[in-house]
Amino acid sequence: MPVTNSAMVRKPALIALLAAGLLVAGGCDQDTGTMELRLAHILDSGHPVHQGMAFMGERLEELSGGTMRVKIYPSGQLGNERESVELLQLGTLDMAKTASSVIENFVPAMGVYSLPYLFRDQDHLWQALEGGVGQEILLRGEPYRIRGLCYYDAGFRSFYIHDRRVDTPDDLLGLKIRVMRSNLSIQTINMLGANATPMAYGELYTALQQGVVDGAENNPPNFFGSKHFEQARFYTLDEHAAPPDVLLIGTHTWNKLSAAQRRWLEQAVEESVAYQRQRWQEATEEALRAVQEAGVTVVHPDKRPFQEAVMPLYESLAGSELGMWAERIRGLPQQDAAQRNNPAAP
Amino acid sequence: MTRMIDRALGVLLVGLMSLMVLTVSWQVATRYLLNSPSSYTEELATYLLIWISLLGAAYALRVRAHLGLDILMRRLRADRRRSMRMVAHGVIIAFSLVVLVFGGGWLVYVTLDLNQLSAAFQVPVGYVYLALPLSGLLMTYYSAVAMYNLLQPKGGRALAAADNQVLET
Repeated sequence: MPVTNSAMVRKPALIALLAAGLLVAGGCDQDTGTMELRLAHILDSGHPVHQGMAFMGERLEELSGGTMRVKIYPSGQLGNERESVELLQLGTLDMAKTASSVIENFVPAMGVYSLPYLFRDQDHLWQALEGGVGQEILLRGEPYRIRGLCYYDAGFRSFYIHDRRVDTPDDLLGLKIRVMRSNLSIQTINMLGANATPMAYGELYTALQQGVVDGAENNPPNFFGSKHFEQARFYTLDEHAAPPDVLLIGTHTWNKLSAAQRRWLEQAVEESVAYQRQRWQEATEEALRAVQEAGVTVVHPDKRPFQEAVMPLYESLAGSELGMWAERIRGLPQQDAAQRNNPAAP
Repeated sequence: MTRMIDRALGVLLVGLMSLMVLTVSWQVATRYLLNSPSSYTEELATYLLIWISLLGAAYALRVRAHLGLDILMRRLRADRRRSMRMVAHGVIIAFSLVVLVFGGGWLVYVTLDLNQLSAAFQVPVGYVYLALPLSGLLMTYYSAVAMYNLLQPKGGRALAAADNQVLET
């Protein structure tokens, strides 16, 4: 077989190029001395939760005198939320942020946050999350090799429908609503009269456009950020559920940290929560204003009929582990202005 | 023995594929005809696809249906191609054992141990991941068989001839 001269010359060049590529890839590794924690999540980098975690990373670097850093991989670069929890369990990833409803398939207690109308209001939500119950549930993941560090505000989820105004659960009858792949979310939506359709978030825009589903449910910043408002003209703020976002660290990584490193991390995380909640408030107001400007009708319905419709779910949970957690959260006393009598409304 | 595995794998794949067609059809039917979408079909279809692709990859290896880059092969002298194939199968075996059998097996062990449940069926996800080590074992076996055949003086030559014909066209 005749071999041309140019091919002879090119071969070593090719090998050199490949070798150079390997060197570059291998050279990316750590410069010793600083510890880099890799954090994965699926939100884009403009999202308030991302900003909260970026803030946490900055604070950690300051607190640790530059010896600890957080490298964030946003937009699902390292896989979807369920996959990143698996990576934590395997020890190939250090930290991840996922919705509590994703963790419920790993840590059953986390499922409690998927329950509808678990919290009376915003204050009750944070009283529960920051208080004893919430912190206990964070640590429930330890036997499953994931340790919760904190909750980030992910707001309240509400329905948005392609072409129909919803004021009562009756208006939802027969509508196909996209839900997260969570058993409790499916049950909740069905109980409200709609037909729950589990579907990946990324497929939702086209599904709304093509009429595969009639609507979906999410918090205002996500409704706005996902551009779903272009396809759903009615947003009913029934605020039926409030599953928070959870920042997780794998126990593989946690156990390697020294006492000081844990303290720095916990402090950075705590400061980031305050920052993130502030950002979330702003983002929510901004989102509601923006979608209204874009022509979406925002409805403020009477929540009572919605709350009554899901009561059977709580009855069916009585006596189970989930029911126990739900009771502990719902049993928390009203904090301020306790005179305002709130008769057992969830 | 190899025949039996081929046959069982083929039948299983046809079965899984048919089941997936039925599942997805049912999903569409419940969505548009009954107007109450089934919550289980999406998950079932996803898991079926995992099994079909991984077992199908092993089956495709057996019937030599995988894509290949033949730039190097074309440049080699016909009698050197056999050893090149031996190397290729060796690499396949190494990958299957390290990534699929050990890596996948570890993943199965961890997910079963920590009892991660699937959202709709509430079954341990570890059983779904069993497709990984199983596919790895099948690929290792098929590559070993292919290497053995290449080493047979007669079979190897026949195989190589058939292969060369493909390469020349």
